[in-house]
Amino acid sequence: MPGLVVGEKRFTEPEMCFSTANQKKNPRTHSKIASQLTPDAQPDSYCPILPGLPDDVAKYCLALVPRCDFPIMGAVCKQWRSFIRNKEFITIRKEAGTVEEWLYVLTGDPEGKGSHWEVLGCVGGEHQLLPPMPGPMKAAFGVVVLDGNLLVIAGHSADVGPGSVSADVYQYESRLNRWSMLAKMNVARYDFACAEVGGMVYAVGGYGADGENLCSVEVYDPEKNEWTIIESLRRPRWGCFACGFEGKLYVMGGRSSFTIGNSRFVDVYDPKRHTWCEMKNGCVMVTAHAVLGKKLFCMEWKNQRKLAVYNPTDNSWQMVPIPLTGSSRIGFRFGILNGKLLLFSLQEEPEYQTLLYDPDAKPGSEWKTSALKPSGLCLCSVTIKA
Amino acid sequence: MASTSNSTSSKIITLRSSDGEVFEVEESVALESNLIRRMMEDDCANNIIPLPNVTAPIFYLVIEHCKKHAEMKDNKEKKKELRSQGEELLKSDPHTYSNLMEAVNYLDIKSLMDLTAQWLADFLKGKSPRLIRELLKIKNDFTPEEEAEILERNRWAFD
Repeated sequence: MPGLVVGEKRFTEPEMCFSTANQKKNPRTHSKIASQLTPDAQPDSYCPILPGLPDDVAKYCLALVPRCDFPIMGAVCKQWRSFIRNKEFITIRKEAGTVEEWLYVLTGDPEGKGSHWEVLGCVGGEHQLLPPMPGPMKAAFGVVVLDGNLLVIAGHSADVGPGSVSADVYQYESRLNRWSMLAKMNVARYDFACAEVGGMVYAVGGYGADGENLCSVEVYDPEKNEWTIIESLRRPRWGCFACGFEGKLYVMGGRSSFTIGNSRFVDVYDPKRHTWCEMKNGCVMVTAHAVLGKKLFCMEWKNQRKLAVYNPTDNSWQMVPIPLTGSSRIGFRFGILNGKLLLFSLQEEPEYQTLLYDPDAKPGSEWKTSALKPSGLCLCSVTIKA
Repeated sequence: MASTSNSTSSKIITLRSSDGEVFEVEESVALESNLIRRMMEDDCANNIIPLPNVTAPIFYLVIEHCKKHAEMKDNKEKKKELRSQGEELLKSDPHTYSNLMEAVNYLDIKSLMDLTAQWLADFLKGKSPRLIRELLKIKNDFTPEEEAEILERNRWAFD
């Protein structure tokens, strides 16, 4: 609560842009903006974010700048950079209602000669490109979004093949537009499932360094930058995918030992109890999946003209036909943007317009087309809010 | 936030700035400030309310903008106009801007806080890091190597 503190106004350098008000002694006399936030700088090295303004006011100002300007602000000085990287920055943007949602698509280059990440959905930025991913070009890796960053996890070298399995994890900091390396996993793996649940990243099963099937599971803690092995699956599972609902991890699809063909089981992990349990009604041979709202949208290989929508609250599946004729073998990749599901064609068809499914629209008008389209084939996509 | 409709018989509130100047302000305008609202709720409604953190010239600006803000409530054109005035002030007199913002923060006026913060955000938009540092007198603590690397990575943004 602002008290009647007498802030002496001493402007030692009148020509200076912002005043050097007496805020070192009294950095906070106001409470309304983000009062729960404490300045993280040490008192000795205390230096305001904006000379002359209390830090929480300065932070609020910076949080109003459009997202495409973040990398520029991160280049002004180290303090601005560290603030923009901080989770607090996103918290303030949420409070201010300025969060923007961008879709990042890993797009195949022509003739399958590699790939690049591009951004769809940002204002005025047509197919903005990300700096190239570090390390060798990989396949069968996992992608997860954590705290506004994109994690590219493990996989094997695209050139050498499954003989070169990796435990490397790269992080793309979307706000600073840069890649960095995180701690390695305990187990190198590819074709595994991964997802974020409760601020942690889980990696489940897959193939190991010798091509063996894995039941091992590990979890990444961003605070510690550390991977820890946790309770294994009851049996190895690979080619599967994962998603998080209500604080639990769901692993579906792919194959597992001791089952013939594809696994219909859903392995569910409860991080609070550290236990796995299983359910029987998963879907099989999933060619695309995405979480939208509190539901999981899948496409099964056997019928690519229907969406299979899973509702974890009552453990039910619902089928939604896709209004598209032609060969049902042509599949899609999914993207999520602003509460809508985008269907990118897996075939280069110039006349195909991206289909858009709005689950909240009036019955009969859920389907539309969208102008959003990656510059090549969509290999995978993630949505990052910042 | 703004004045209620029964402002016909508006009460006048007396305030005193840190440099001793006395202001008479309509209650509806004064109540935009949550600080003043709280002080009035406490007791000093009949006395002169002291504002030890705000000087007279800055308080003039605050009142002026409070009034403008109340006027433009449903007027998009005026809203735009008010929003665009920040660039000018920040360029010509950043010192006053920062004093104004501090006063707004101290007086706890939500509408003006949003406006003045937006001014700064708009001001930063599209400017190069070098220009931002220069205008806001921020020290560059990156090494030349770091800076070159950032520049290379974000060439699209710095053109």
